[in-house]
Amino acid sequence: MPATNLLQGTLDLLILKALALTAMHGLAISHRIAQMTKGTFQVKPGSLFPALHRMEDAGWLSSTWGDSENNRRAKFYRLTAAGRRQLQAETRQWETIALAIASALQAS
Amino acid sequence: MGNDRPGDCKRSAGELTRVPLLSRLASLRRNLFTRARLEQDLDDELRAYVEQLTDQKRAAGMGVAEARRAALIEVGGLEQVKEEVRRVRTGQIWEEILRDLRYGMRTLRKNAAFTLIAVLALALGIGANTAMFSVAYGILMRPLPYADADRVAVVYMRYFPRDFAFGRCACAII
Repeated sequence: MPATNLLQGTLDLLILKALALTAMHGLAISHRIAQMTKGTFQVKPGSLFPALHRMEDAGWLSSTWGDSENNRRAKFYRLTAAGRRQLQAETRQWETIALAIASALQAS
Repeated sequence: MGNDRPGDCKRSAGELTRVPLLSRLASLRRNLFTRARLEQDLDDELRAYVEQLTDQKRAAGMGVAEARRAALIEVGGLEQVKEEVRRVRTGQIWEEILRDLRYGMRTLRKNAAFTLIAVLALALGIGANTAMFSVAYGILMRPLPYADADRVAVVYMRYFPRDFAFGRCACAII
């Protein structure tokens, strides 16, 4: 499995995007990110949990305890309204950056 | 993901990083005043993660012990993960300051002689400075208690008897 370093700020965007559809617990989020990025990003708990807690502190996520798919208790995270706005803003920013880098690399 | 650490996800300043003050205050209150519960919560959360990972590995065909070991290895040390989470919490800096203060107080209490000398030296230094500057202020800086104090001038005369001996006029210097 390829391991790629996350760009600064990318992890937040990926987490926000992963949670855009439904609430998820930590393990499901990291699986979802791996799936969304076709295995390019493998988020380890050492990065995932600090990010989740930081984003919860920031008010972008809220968390509740619930039962996981195999009936274990797990903490589920969901986007707040502020989180949704943040996802939009970060998506716009990322698109700008991606476009800029792409045109820079195509320049001759 | 190799060497990416939570510090790496700090973002540059900008509109995106602005966290509403209210939510920040709420987090601060939560982080400072409900610490025990927060710690328990974090512990539960990580344990649940390990258990889920173990379940998945068992479902993939591993034995019980093997699956658990593999899950723990993948997590890479529960305590390290917890430490990383604590580091990003709002109000962490206050907690560290408080801890440093407490540590400082303990150290001072243990070295009473050193503390006494340090306090005396500081007291003397501060006292001497205050005394000096009170005098300097009174003499040099305090405006005179008159209207238009800045237009008051000093007028004085010098008288040279020697000059009279040569028949010259004494000078008045203003």
